[in-house]
This record gives sequence, structure tokens and C-alpha cells, in this order.
Amino acid sequence: MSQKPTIRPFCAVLASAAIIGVPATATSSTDTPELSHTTVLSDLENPWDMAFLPDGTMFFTEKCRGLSVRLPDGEVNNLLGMEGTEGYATTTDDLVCQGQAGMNGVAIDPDFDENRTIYVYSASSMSDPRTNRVLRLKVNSDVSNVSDRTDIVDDIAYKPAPTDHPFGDAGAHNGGRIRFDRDGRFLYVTTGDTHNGEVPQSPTRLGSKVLRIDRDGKAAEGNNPPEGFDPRTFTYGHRNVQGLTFHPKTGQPIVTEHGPWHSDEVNALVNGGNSGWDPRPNMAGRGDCPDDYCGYEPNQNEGMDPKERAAYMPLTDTETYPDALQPAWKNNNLSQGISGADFLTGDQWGAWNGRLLVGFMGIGFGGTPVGQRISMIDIAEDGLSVNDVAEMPLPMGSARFRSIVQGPDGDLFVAVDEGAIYRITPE
Amino acid sequence: MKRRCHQAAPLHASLRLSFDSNTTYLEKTTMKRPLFFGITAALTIGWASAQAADMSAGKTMFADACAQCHGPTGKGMASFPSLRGRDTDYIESRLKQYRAGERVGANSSLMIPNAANLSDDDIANLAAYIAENFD
Ligand code: HEC
Repeated sequence: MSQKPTIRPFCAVLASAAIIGVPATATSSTDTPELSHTTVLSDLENPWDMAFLPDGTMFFTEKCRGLSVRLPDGEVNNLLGMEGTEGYATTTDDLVCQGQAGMNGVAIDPDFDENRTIYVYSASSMSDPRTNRVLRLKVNSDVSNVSDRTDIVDDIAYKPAPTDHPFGDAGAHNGGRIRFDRDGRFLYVTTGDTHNGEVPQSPTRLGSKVLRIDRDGKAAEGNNPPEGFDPRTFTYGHRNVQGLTFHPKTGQPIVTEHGPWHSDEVNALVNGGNSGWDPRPNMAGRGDCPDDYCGYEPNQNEGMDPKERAAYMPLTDTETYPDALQPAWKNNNLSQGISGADFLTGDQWGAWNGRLLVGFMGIGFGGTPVGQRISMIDIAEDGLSVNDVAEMPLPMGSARFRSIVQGPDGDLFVAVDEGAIYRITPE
Repeated sequence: MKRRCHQAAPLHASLRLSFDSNTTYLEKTTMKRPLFFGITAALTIGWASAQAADMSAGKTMFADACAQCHGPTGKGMASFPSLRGRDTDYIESRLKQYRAGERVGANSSLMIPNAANLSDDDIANLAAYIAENFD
């Protein structure tokens, strides 16, 4: 690790964007806020996630650059750079990016005041073949550098080589969101199927799982996967989970799961549950598939009725796995790049208080509308259905909504692949 | 509901920016096509006899039909390639390949439908706009 203290003062200038009000012409409900937005940071490279301290300090990741922090006064410090980056206080050459993989989620330790600890999820070349890791780091007193790296998980699946599939590059289906639960007890880590047919139902390979671990990366007490499973497994049989949050009342973990050319899902998780994804060849009436992964069958390159696809290659296969976790919502059987998720809470959000927000990046494959938006979902308290879904009227327009996080003062922060982080304020 | 604050507001912006239920959303998005092609057609007819590419038609079309994947400034995002530093010929020939349904890279199936309905003029306008503005 080379040490180079640096800051990015120009970002502070960029951050001083104008507040632009947009009238939210409410439809049904009278009690809906008007939204305005500011650009918190722009000129970023694929910002992927952010995490906040109570004073508004915002840690954020960029997929191929690394970890930075924006201080409440707007100054940005670049903390931990990946292979090939410059201008970071610390640079670490084993942290690599390719395709969808790179530096993904970031989470702050609930006891940050005492231990100054944060966590990031990143692909690493330290193992051969590469893996994804969860790094634990200490932040120094003036928030200008990190040290004491410990990789608390070092064996999360990573796609090492390209395959014959859409988005078929190495690094695909890489999961990557990490969050502490509402009690601040355990860290949840979402992983992806890495375009590998065996991974989702494999008891031991750490992909397609939601892990639940303690601060040292050990299995959380109480994890209840089937016998023979890696004890860090909280749920398994997922395709690619990039959204993770917890119900504000029940604390139940809720994830978003990218659909296979159909049916993006919102799933409320139950300890030990199987989300029912099994793209192995010669399973459930399917034959051989490209590179032994049926995830886009029966037809990976042409448009086709999503319902027909769903019948052939379901995201939740209840025929094979009758006890599989049932999705609360399936995005009208469409796949549109579902990603970050968080709950909106606080009276300032009026009728939207308590809504689950879900970001869509948009795809536009085979006749499906692109679908870039943030959906506001009124999810039933038992997590098994939704009462209502509406689209948030966005003051800054649509984009590839990668990450959604409610900040410490209740405003909403969204990171978009276009390279910006916006702050949305209700009036 | 109007978007008042976006630099290069795509044609369909106000259509998309509704906060209706999903069903309504889908109806609204499909409306984008006839509107979009109507306007493009008008522009194309206007320039039918012109030799030089129509930058402003290219710009509008890029914002409406390409930016959501390649980014508003063509720098690429996620799995979608950067279009920067490409010359007009390169872009034109690629677009014609995709229009013909040819597979180029791993994700051609995402690009092919977006080129399928482009006219030669559309391609010339897009290529000129991209080559000139995203270097
Ligand atoms: C749904 C997302 C999407 C949209 C919309 C889209 N593209 Fe693409 N484009 C892609 C992908 C993915 C590739 C890479 C395809 C491959 O692997 O062959 C690509 C490739 C290209 C290339 C070749 C780049 C290179 O370096 O060879 C050009 C040029 C291009 N697109 C232009 C456009 C234009 C112009 C539009 C608007 C008419 C457009 N694209 C709309 C996804 C998209």
C-alpha cells in the first residue's frame, strides 16, 4: 500500500449546484411533497454506493476507482484507490474492476464513533482465480485516509472469464450491496450467480447468496441454512442481488433481484430461505445451454414474450422448489435493471412515508420499455405482496439509478451511472 | 408534470416523468415511438436534399434514443461502451453492421434493435454528432 495524502477540492465547487424546484402535481393523494434536487457530486465514474455518518459525511465508491468521502463542508478526500488509479491516499493494486465487478457496496460500522470502522465490497486479484471480498478498514481521525485492512470475507464468487451470454464479460452478476441491519448487529452481503449454473443452489460456493456475518466475517449467530451449507448463508438461490434494505417496522431484510430478460423481483427474506433460481442445464425441462448456464433461455438474443420466458426459465422456480421464497413484486414480468433500494421514512415525505423505493437502471431489450425510474412501492408488512406501486416524480429526470440511500436528515440520495450523486428534498 | 431543469431534455422526458402506476407508465412509454419517429421523419425530409449531416437532428436523436445507454456525453456506463474518440466512418460502419443484425461484441443483442430502424441519414447525422462532440 503506497501512501499519498490527497484531496479533490474541485468537487467542492461542482457540488454547489442550484436548487431547482419542480412542482409535483399530485394525482390521487393530496399529501404528497414537492421535490427539489441538488447535485451533490458530478464527474464521477460509475458511482456505485454511498453510506452516511450522522453529520452528513458521505462515503462513496466508484466502481473502477475506489473509495472516497465527501465531508459536510463539501471537500472530497480520495481514500482507497484501486489498481491503476492516482490521487488516492492509499492505493491497493489487488482491487480490480472488470465488467460489472469492481468496488461495489460500502457500509459504516454502527459503532463508528468508537471504532472508526467501515466496510467495502470489492473484486480482488489477491486470490487466483479472483474473488470478491469484504474489506474492513479503519478511517483516520481527519477522515483523509484508511488503514488496517482486514478482508473479513475473501471467498465470494467472481466470474473469471467471458462466456457466451448477454453481458457476458468477466465480472458479471457480481452482487455487491452490503448493509448493517437495523439493530446494528450483523452485516448482510449480497452476491451474484456469476453466470454459473452451479452456483445458485450450491451449498458451498458463495455466490447467489445473501450472507449474514458479524464484524469479523464469521457466520451470524442464528443463521439457518439447510444442512451442509456454508454457515454464513442467510438465503440462497438468488440470481443477482443489487438492492438491500430493511423494513422500518419489522426489520425484515428486503432485496431486489435482477430478472433474466423478465421479472425483476422484490423479495422479503426469511432466514435459510431459497429464492428458487436454478439455471443449471438439463433441469426442469431444459436441455443444454451456452456455457452450461441457462439463465437467458430459451432465447438469449431475441425479444420474446416475458411471460413465455418466465414459464420456461422462472426466476423463482416453485415447481422444483415448492418452498421457495415468494417475491412480493415482479415488476409486471419485466426486466429493466432493478438495483438499489431503501425505505423512505419521515413525516416530511407525507403520503410516501414508509414507501420502499426501488431504482431501475433501464435496459430496453427485446421490446421491453427501458424503464429508468424510481418506483415507490407500498409493500405489505408481511413482505409477501404490494398494495400500490407509483413512480417518483424526479426533479432531475431519469437516469441509471444504481444506488438509493436515505441520508441522515431524511433527504434522499441517489447515485446514477451517468456519474452523479443527487440529493432530493421534499418540500 | 414538466421537467424544467434538464440540459438536454429528451423528447419523451415529460412522457416518462409521470408518477402514475406502472401500467400507465408502460402506455406512456410506448407512445414515445410514434412521436419520436414522427419528428425524426420531419427532420429527415427537411434535409433530404442536403449533403452535410444534420448535427442538431443527430443531437436530438442521440439524447432521445442513445444517451440512456451510452451516457449523455457518450462516455459509456456500466456494460455500455464509450463512444468517445471514434471518427465518423467508424461509427457509421458500426451502426450499419448493427442495423444489418450483425453481431460485433458480446452485447450486440442490446444494440441491434436500436439500429434496426435507422435510415442512412439518421446514421450520418448520429455519426457526425458523436464524432464531433464526444472526443
Ligand atoms: C439498450 C442500450 C443501448 C442503446 C439504447 C444504444 N446502444 Fe449502442 N451499444 C450498446 C451496446 C451494449 C453496445 C456494444 C454491443 C456489442 O457488444 O457488440 C453498443 C455499441 C454501439 C456502438 C459501437 C461502439 C464501438 O466502440 O464499436 C456504437 C457506435 C453505438 N452503440 C451507437 C449507438 C447509437 C448511435 C445509439 C442510438 C441510436 C445507440 N448506440 C443506442 C447499447 C445501446
